[in-house]
Amino acid sequence: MMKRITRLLLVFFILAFTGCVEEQSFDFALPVDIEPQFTILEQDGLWSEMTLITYDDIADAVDDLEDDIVFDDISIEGISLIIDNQADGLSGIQNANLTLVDPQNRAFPVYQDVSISINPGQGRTEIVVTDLAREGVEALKDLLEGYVLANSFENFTIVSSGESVPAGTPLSMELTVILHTSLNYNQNFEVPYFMGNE
Amino acid sequence: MNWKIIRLIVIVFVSTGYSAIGQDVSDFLERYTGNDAENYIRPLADAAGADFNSGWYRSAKVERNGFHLYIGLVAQSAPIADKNKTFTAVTPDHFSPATNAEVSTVLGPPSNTSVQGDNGTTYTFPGGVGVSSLPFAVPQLTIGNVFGTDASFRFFAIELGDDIGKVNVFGWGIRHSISQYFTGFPVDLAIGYYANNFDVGDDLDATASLISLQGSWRTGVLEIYGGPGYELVRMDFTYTPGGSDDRETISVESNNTVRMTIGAAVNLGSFVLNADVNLANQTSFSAGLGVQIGNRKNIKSNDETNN
Repeated sequence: MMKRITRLLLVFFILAFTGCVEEQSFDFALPVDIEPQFTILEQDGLWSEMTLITYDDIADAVDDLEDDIVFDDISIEGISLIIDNQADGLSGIQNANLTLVDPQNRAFPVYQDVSISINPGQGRTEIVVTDLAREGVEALKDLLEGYVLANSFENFTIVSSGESVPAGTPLSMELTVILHTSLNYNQNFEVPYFMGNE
Repeated sequence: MNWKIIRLIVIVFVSTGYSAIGQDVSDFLERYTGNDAENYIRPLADAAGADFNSGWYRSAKVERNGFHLYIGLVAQSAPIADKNKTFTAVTPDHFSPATNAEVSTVLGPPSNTSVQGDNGTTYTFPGGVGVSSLPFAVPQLTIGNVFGTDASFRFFAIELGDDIGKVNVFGWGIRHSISQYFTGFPVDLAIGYYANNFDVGDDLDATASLISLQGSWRTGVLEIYGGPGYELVRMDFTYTPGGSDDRETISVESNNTVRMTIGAAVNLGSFVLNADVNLANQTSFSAGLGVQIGNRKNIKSNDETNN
């Protein structure tokens, strides 16, 4: 008897909790970091290296999005640099530039004339680039949105350049440029009625 | 990847209304720096802890000896106050300029908050799950009595697949009658200690404990009960940050410490129906429906005999 009553009570509460649902929209911000790397080995201390950004750089994130999402936009949040330095005499870099070259071969500066100090013997240096160029930020945003919206899958190029400090110091470093972005979208889900109504 | 945090909340606390979503809990926690990740989660600890620590008792009367068994289902709900739906967060280091923004907590509005930065940059804070309350329900068993002491237990376990893992809820409590030491005392008094463990896979580990002083007074089938309590709630979220192989844990302690319970129970033969409110920093409501056998059931007949 008691077992039966307990079962009935359980069924009643489960039905009460799950029976009434409503559809509610949720916003999401999915962080995506794109991290092009440049291996810089220059005896004269001057470098200019390029790398391709392709759809594959954000494919994992885009593939995880479900079909019924409504894409809002991409946020370009900022850029961090990681320098793994192997050269003993290097105390910094200067006139560091990052340029985006789009599929139409148009160049957009992302940052310009950045100087970074490196403590002698310090292998790894991480900094945030605070002074970005609007045209580069907007070009990057447009190209990545093309990927997400499946409007364009064309590769584009990132060019990194600069020079060592002291001038002429041979360079032996790995430069990682972290492009911090987020994919912003919303999606509808059914939720229990009494939990929603926000 | 799955958007585990919402699934943890909703699947465990209510239903399976949400399906797989392409975000992991780390995607949310990494949006915040410093203490902001804790502030984002803390309302969940407050509300869940308020639920866990509610509904343990429906009377303070514990007979000195004699068999007593209660089996029932206890439902709790913690309404989410406006103050727990938003908090002030700061943008991370890679965003310039550093900006404070009023953003959603994990239980707050389900809308993103965007902050404009220098030269076309934007930072977007994620929304919450947009709930007006956090409900929970668990079966409970109370058994006694030995020297005015009884024990209570709550338990359920469910396997939710590889993405989330196994959900385990286990609670126990013990209480002792104080009024048994006084003759002619006008109300029943007891003191109890209760503890809950709540685990979800390898991602969430929560503990809630409550020390409560309980009082009750009965007339006919109606029993008024309540009393103060002191509670502690801790929630550990463990996740793997992006780009790392190491697991990190964020520990959050609830703002709830002191609560006051006020409730009423109706004893109809073997059936007991009760409801109470728990006033605290995070208020919660609790209701229970169950059956009991043993000397608690005999109280009514004793009352009738006395009359």
